[in-house]
Amino acid sequence: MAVAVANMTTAALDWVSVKFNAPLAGMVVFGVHIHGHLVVEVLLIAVILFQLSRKSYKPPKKPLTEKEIDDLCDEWAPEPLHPPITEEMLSEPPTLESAAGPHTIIDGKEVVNFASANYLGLIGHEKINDSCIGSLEKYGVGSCGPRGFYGTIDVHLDCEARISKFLGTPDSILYSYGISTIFSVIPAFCKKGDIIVVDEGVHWAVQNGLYLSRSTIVYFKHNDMSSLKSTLEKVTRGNRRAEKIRRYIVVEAIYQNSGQIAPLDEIIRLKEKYLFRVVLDESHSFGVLGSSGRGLAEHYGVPVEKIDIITAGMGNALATDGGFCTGSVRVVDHQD
Amino acid sequence: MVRLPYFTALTTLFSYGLLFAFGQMRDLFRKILDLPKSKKVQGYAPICLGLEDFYTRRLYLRAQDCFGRPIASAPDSWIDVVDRYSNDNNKTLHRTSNITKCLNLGSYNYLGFAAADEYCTPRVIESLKQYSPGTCSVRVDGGTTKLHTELEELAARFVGKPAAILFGMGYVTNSAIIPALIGKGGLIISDSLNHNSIVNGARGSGATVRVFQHNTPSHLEEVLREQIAEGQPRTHRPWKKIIVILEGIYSMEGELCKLPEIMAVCKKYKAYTYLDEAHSIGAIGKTGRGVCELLGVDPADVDIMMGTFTKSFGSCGGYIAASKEIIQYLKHTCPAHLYGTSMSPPAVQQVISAIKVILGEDGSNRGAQKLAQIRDNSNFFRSELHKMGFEVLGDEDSPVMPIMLYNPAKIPAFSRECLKQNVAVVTVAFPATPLLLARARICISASHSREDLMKGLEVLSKVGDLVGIKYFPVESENSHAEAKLKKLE
Repeated sequence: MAVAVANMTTAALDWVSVKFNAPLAGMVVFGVHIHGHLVVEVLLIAVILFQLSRKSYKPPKKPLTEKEIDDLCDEWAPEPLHPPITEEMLSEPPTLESAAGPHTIIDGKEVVNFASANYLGLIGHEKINDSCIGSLEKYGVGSCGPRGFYGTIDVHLDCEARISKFLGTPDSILYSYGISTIFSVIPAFCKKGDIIVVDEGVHWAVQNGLYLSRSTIVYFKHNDMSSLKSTLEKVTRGNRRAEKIRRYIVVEAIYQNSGQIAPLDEIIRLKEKYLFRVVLDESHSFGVLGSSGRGLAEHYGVPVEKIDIITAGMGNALATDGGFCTGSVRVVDHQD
Repeated sequence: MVRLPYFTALTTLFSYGLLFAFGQMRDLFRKILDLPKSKKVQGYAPICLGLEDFYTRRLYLRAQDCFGRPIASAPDSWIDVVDRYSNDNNKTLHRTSNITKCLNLGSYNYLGFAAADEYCTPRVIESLKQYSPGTCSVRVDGGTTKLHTELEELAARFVGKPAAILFGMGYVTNSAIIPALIGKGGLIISDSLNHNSIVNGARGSGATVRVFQHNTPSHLEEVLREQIAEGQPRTHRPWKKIIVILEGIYSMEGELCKLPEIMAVCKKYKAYTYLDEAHSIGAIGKTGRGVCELLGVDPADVDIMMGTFTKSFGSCGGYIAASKEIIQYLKHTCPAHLYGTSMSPPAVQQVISAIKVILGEDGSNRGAQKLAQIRDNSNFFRSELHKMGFEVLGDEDSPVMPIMLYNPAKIPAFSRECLKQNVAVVTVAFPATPLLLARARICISASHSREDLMKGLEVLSKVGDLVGIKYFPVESENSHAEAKLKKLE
């Protein structure tokens, strides 16, 4: 029975192929013999091309109509600009009625001042007040312009020269506000893709600068040299691209939030071993540490050339406002 | 609006192309010559790779003597500019002790408070003796003196808002306040030509930032509608809040913002507005209260008004004025207030005295005189420059006038020729302005007298002829005016 069916199908197929082949049996087109299977293949290709040329079905895109946008805009209600005012927000700081020296007057009472960062007691110093009065009369109060557009007064340049002479660096550059010094310096040097190793306990301005620089940031435990060593190890191990990426360590000389001093000699040793550049913020140590007030480098006896970038806000020991940044020649040129 | 002639655009592009080619060639030579003696410290990656500082090294350094000129006097209407020379082709500049007295058309000294003033300076000296030059502490830790509270109330009253808060530096004001007001999930829509401090603040806040075409309320409306309908970028949740940031006078264009129309749009879509009046406070408006007064907008409509004391008041620092609750909230959270040194007391006193002079509370009418003077000066100067054929941007009454230069070679040429004739001007190029649109910016002050202005105009005209920047000569202007008159008749 199965044999009979098989025989019948083969007979039918043979008949079909003979019928197909017959009209084309002897045909030669362009030197190619036409066989039956060629016809089938051509038909198949034609069907495929037809399917490809048809548009695929996509659900129709319906953009929002004007009326719908109007409704959405009417419904939307913004949050208030500020959260509700709590009790602690209403507390006012004490108002001074005299200079912020060691003794000051608040509400008519004389109090001992433990709040100002007047480390060297320069507030109220006669010589400073006299020279300020002299320069007020000559130069007025403000500079009325940025440094590039006639805001550079010769005293600015003198001050920069004095600071670099005092610290022993080639040159320095002044900034007009203490906290903006560090959060301008960091983005100027550290761009996207660089690696920065930072202490956990740095203050807000440093954190803001790090965020603005968009580099990769790695924290190490506050003032813990073994943690710094292991972090540096982890970051540089197996990193073949390390030659091209700029690497920085950012520390503060005296930490504003905890009061600890960074061990500079250890840091310099580690930096030279792992080839990082050091950015040191000396806001609270300039004029305080070291036998002549030259800061952390003198305190530890480290030559100041080894530190790449030193920044400081002058709002503490120097009893004024503003900041400066100093370092090697290449660093200052780039800042300009 | 800038009307850039076609031929000028071509020549400018050609000049930049030439400079770029020269720069690349010099870099190539430097690389070849430096190969044997590599100065790179072994193992450290260089601070600047390749093209990062190409613009600074090859283009800016050629004209470096036009920027950062030191002065040896107060930035008043006449200044003493210190001469500088260079031994190594402008890479380093050394000061000499020669000074040249020049007419100052560059400093932001709008009301003339930069030099010693008869009312302000004695009071400043007194406050210096009483409060000393610095407070050495942050505002919350004992840096607030009576002067600070007095200035906050006075500034709020001057601007027309209930309360104000002070900061030590104008730039920091913007960069630190915007993150305190808005965070992730909020939307900031800022004008395309906003200042760098606003851009930094917006980026630092973490909110989404969108830009609308400069001074075009219709585009702002389009952007607002689209953004409110779509919601946050991927989740499509509704925005938490929307802040629109504009400036009173745009410092590179000299234009006023179209405040009434933009306020109407913001009110309709319930967006908050933040107005940066760094250049306009004290300088425009009948009583010096800024762009709101000039354009007739109620200050209570603008949610937050920011300004600086550097320009019209001759001091330093910035302020934010808003409702009492917002200021209390900012005092509690803003990092610049909690961590930044407070303003120096003599500087605060200078602002207090300056505001009192402007308001007339010092018993004289010098304030009103100064305001009228600066208005007359600006309008006179601008009309004269137009008549000479310069291309000057900016609106009526605005003391900032950019003159278009375009070509990169004209920038140092203009600056140096003017200095030779004892006029000090400021030229601005990329990156503060678009690459093709370099300009010289004139800032008029109330302390300029009519003779000063005439001298300035004379010198500008001569140098303009020499350098070739009179793009729109008078004949065509006259014929346009005549044609208009004929049409009216």
